[in-house]
Amino acid sequence: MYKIAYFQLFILFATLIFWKLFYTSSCAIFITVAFVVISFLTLSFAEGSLLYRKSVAHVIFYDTSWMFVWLQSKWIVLLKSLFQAMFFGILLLINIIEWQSNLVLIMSLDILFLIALYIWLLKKVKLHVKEDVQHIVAKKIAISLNIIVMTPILITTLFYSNPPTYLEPSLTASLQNAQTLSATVQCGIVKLLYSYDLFKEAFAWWGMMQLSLHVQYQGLSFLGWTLFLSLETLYMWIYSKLILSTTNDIKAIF
Amino acid sequence: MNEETKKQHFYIDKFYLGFFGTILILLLVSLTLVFEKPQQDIEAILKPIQEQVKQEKEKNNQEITLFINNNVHNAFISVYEKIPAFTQTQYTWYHDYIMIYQIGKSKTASLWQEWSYFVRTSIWHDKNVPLPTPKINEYAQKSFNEVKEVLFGNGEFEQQIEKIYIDAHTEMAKLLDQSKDTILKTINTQKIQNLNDANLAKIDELKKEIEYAFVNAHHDLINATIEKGGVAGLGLLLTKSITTKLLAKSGIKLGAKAGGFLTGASTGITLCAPSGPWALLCGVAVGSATWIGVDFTVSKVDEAMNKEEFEKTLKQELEALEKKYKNDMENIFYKGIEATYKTLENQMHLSPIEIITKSK
Repeated sequence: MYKIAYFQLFILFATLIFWKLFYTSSCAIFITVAFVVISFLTLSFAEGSLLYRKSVAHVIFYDTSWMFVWLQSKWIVLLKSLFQAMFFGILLLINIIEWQSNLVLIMSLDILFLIALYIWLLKKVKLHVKEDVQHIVAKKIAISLNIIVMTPILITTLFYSNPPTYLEPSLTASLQNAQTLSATVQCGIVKLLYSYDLFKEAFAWWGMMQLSLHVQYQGLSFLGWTLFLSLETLYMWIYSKLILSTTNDIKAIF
Repeated sequence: MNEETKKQHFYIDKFYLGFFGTILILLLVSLTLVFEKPQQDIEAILKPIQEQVKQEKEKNNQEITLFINNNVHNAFISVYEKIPAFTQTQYTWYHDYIMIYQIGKSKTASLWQEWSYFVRTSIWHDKNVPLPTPKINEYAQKSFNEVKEVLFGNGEFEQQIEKIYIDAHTEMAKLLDQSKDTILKTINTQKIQNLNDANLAKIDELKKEIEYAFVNAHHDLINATIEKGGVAGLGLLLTKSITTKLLAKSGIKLGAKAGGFLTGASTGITLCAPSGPWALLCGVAVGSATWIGVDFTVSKVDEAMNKEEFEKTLKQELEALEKKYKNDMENIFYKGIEATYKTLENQMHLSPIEIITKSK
């Protein structure tokens, strides 16, 4: 009835939890986890793109046109999606390392919310959308709705939770702490990316602290922090996409 | 419902149960693992310290305010008691003439000084002559001295205030010592034992930081006690402010006198008239005689109408100054307390909402 692959979802969730717990270990774990995440994301990115190109090809071009053929070519899209997935997937994986326990809880519960939303939307779109692409449309709407619902929740959570312990009022101390923290990671490439992310965070938090120290008006300070924290929740998009990629049905497009 | 669908139904239910059950178990396991991470423990230690720091800061502020308020008020009570005596000296009819005589005397002396300076520099070409001290606004100076002598017991009040200031420093040092002990006690030794090395180092650093902040505060207090200039200056400011009020009061009186003088004597002496009490120095005998007569009546009327009001105004003025004085002294200590605790508060990790509410 529903096109949800529960086994895939289970694998994905287990992989993410595994990553969160053992990111400091060897590169083999990173490669395994990245492989799983990237494969899911590649299909997810490819799906929307393929549907769009197919629609354009059918609406605009004749079957005999070379443009029609080019737009229908799957491998180019898959390759492009692979790069996209590599970029965003690794970004998400590095971000997951920094999630504190309250975020882990919220994001885990978000999986249930996303699935429920998707099932509900699938029922709704049934009346309007053709059967083959129903799940793609439902998924796109579910992702947008999830971002709209979750962003305020995440911002509120971040407002009331303490920053990571490695951050300190002095920038130099924060950077030093970031370096020691990233040194615990065994795998070289993860260490590098993780340290860059920690440095970025250290700079951002330090900047925000300075800003709120110098801004007199509480409202302005509040606005600044809200903007900053909403930027901190940008991974919501890629996370939603990844979770719902378990509903991929690439055959519908091919 | 036939047998097959029933079976299928049961099978699906079991699958869903197993699926969500596994997710839930994994979630719980991962959460316990995440919660067991040392960074959560250090938060549990840091939170109560943060609360304690906040409480101690407020307590210090309150106690030093109470101390300053009580002591400064006690010092001012002696000044309030002297108000009637001071008013009495200001409202005797010959008071202004004594002043004019004294000023005239000093003016003549200064004229002589200026003359001798001119002779010695221009005629004798003597280069080692001390410059004559300019005597400006003698009336203000006289009033100022009177206020200082009668109302403030000729420096007695300033000494009292200085003593309060020094006592407040001792009190502050005592309070800070108590606060330091209380904050250090909040670091729970039992919880620390479970921390890993990195976090233990962090706690040690925090302890050092607490010690350092309070040692710094002590150092600042000692420095501030040595530099007492601020207090003496404040006493001077106080006396000057009251003198200004007195001059205003005299201005009203003198205006009335000048008016009487103008109507009483109309014989070509208008040049001296605007100068009020300086009329005597103008050397116009007739005008002066009339003027003394007028002044006596004006003084009497003045006293009957304004003495109580003057006393009231003076009391109000002194009370306002007491308040300002208390505020000024308190602010000196508030700044110190703020600086001491700021370093400690920065050590803690504040959530954005705490940062926003703190920076208002």
